[in-house]
Amino acid sequence: MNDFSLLPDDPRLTAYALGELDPDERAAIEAALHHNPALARAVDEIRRTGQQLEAALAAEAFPTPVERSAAANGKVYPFETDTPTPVPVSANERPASAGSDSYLPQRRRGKLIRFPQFYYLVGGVAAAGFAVMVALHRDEFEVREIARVESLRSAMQKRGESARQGGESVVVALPSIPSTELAADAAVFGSALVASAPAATSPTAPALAPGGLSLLDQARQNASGVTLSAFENRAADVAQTTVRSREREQAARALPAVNEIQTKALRPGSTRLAATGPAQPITLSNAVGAASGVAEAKAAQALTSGSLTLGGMPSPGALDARYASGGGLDLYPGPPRVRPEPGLPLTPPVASNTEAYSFIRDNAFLTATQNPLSTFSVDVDTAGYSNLRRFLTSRRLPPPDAVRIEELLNYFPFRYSGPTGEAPFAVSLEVAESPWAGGHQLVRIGLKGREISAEARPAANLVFLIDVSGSMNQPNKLPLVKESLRLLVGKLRPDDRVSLVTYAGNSGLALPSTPVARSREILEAVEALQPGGSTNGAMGIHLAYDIAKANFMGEGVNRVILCTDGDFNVGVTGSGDLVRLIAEKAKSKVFLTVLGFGMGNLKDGTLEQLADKGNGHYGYIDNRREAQRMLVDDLTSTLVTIAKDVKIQVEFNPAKVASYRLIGYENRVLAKEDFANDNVDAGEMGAGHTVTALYEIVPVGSAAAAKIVPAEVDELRYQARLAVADAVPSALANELLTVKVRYKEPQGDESRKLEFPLADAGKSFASASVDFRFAAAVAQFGMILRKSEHRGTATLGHVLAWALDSVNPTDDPRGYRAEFLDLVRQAQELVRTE
Amino acid sequence: MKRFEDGQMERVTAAEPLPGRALEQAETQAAILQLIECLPPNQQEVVRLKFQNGFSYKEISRITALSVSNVGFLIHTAVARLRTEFAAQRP
Repeated sequence: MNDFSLLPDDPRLTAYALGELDPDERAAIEAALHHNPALARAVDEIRRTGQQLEAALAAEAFPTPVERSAAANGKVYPFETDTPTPVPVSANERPASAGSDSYLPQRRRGKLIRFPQFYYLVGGVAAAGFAVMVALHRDEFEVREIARVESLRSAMQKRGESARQGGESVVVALPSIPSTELAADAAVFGSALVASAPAATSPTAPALAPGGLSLLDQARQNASGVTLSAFENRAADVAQTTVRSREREQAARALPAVNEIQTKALRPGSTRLAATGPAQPITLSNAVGAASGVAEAKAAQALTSGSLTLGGMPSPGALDARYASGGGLDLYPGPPRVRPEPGLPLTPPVASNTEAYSFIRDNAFLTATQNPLSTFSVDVDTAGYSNLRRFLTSRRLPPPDAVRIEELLNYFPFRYSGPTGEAPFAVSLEVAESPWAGGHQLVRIGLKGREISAEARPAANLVFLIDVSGSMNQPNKLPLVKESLRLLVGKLRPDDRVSLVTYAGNSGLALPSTPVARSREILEAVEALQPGGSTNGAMGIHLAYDIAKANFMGEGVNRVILCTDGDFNVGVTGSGDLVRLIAEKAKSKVFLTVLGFGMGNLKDGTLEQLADKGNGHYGYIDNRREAQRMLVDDLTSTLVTIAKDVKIQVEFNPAKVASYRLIGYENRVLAKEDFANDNVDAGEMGAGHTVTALYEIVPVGSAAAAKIVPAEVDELRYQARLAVADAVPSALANELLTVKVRYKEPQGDESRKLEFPLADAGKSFASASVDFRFAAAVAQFGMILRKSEHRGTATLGHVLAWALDSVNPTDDPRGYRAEFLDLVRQAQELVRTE
Repeated sequence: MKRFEDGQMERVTAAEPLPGRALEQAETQAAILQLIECLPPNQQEVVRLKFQNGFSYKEISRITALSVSNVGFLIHTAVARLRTEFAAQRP
């Protein structure tokens, strides 16, 4: 009985053909297909059409910049929509038209302004009015104007510097810029502002001018609230529709700006507008003045006396200036912001310290007979060390839970030998006497990932997900983020792509995916980031991964880089939900890097979990040097993953090892069944990363071994007594342990295994290698700071001695080890004064 | 001069399509692109998101703020229309 009266014209068939149905619906349709061959044919045709569409769209050419200017339809951002204006282009290129009005909610369409002339008239009147007003205030402006021109000029000279100064406080008077450009810019901004007017005040055209004016009035008095919400709404709408294919990038439209107003919520404009206070009184007049084409002169005048803040605006090339300033002009408010100096000392701890660290319990000694297998996931996070450094340099001891020994160890690039075969990393093992507990031994397991040179690195598709909430408004947070981004953009190649997504209140696309060849736009968008609002991490995560996916590079690096202080306080905020969300996103083959910033609000536990579950790693940026390290010096390590889900399992030989203890990796420990289970997620290794793990071992036959009291385990009632360890086969009797490593290729799903046995050579600590001794010193430092019960008899003085012994000043690239010595000394002082 | 062994003839042929075929393909694809351009904007949007960016219905629904069934209907209509128009175009 066919209860499915399916016609070939049923949308469910298309959904089935494209693989969109749930299993049960799919089964029902398949049953219907069985009965009705006509339906099956229809499905086949749909599939074939789908494939043709995919092929055709994949072969679609990018519009080149030349085409874009030819099109010049006023699209500033790729996700903008267009009203169709056919442009003569060759058959193979997409006419720059036929955008979709569906980006903006359909409800606006009815309110499209259909009579541009009316706008021009009203605009002209408003412009005249403003011009008069401005003329009255001319004098004040002139003095400021001169200063600003100077600062702008100097800013414009040096790109990097300009970004730094310009971003905060360069306020520009624009007589040096041709008025046509200005008009165009103004049109763009005006349209942005005007676009907001409907949102903010009334939706209909005639109300535009008064709406615009009232907006400005409000803006002048107390803008943030109104403009903020208006633009955030806009940003949200637009953000929801922002995922567009790359071809959609088009230049700023000169005229008629007004017609496009409903679609012109310039994302960057809107984000920036959202972030800050009163818009300049001049901009609206400029916009409409320009639009009218009548008051151009007045507009230029108005602009010159206005105070538009430009984020490092480059010298005007015709199209670029329009495009760039479209992205770069900022409508934010008069008083220059205090410029944070690069060397600004960390502010004293915020009174209300809401930092959060997850509790960590040290691994205990386990007997080898009862627990022969020790399994854990590798970890290349380095946040623990830089966070520790942040505490110590601000003269405080860190909370014990902030000290994760594996992260201290993995900060240092040890000189293990690199891989020679096809495996992406090499394993090196060493065993020697433990310096802090007599009779104990230390086993050092080191993994060294394959190095990839900067030129050989595959192209990158990066999406930066930046927290611009109010809590980021401190010198060591958002400004440091911007600095880090600037450093990074300087290091990327022209074929890499960067996109900026912000999340605050509603998430917004600050910069659509832009090739680094157009780095100026990227830098301007970075400049324009402003803090404000509360945080909606979940929406930002969705948007960021969508964009990464839309610009996915098959053979390249696809990464979302989250820059935050960890504070998610709107939307999905339960840490469990957030982590589940990121685990879901991790399946999309886009990797993650989590960069923590700032203090007082650092949600270390959440960030670490996000990095873990999101197939990524976690770094903490406490100062510019760390940003330099992670994003410039070690860029290929940060970006390129060479092995995924790397797990280590160690089997101890009970004939040689009485008990053992894994130092660190407490929240990375896995069950022994998880080793072979490819579904269990583990850590990722980047190019050139080193991973170090230490085991403390009590050898059989030592005095310490005699003191071990085996843990008491109840006798089993339903089975024979727990199997006693069989005699170890003599061939293996001399081996201390075997290290097994499983890893997957970055895009693969099946793991491969490597095995390395280790025999004990009875080395003393002093004869161990330099790297070994240094690693021991670092581990002991961590244990002392954690007040671990296993730290033995050593003190910070010992740590210092071992470290001094193993640091060779002439062989200390980048001075990491010297810095470590400083931290130890600092800790000594603090402990003494405790 | 050697005689072909069994099965060697198949291996000797080139894997690439004939030059004429590539040109045909390009023309077809251009035609399809033109047709896509002529779709109503909302359908075109959804078609691009689905076939160019590879998003699922659910993701498209989230991006465009339309319901999943609406998305399905739009894609269905668009695909059907493109199919008929393309067929009508070809002689």
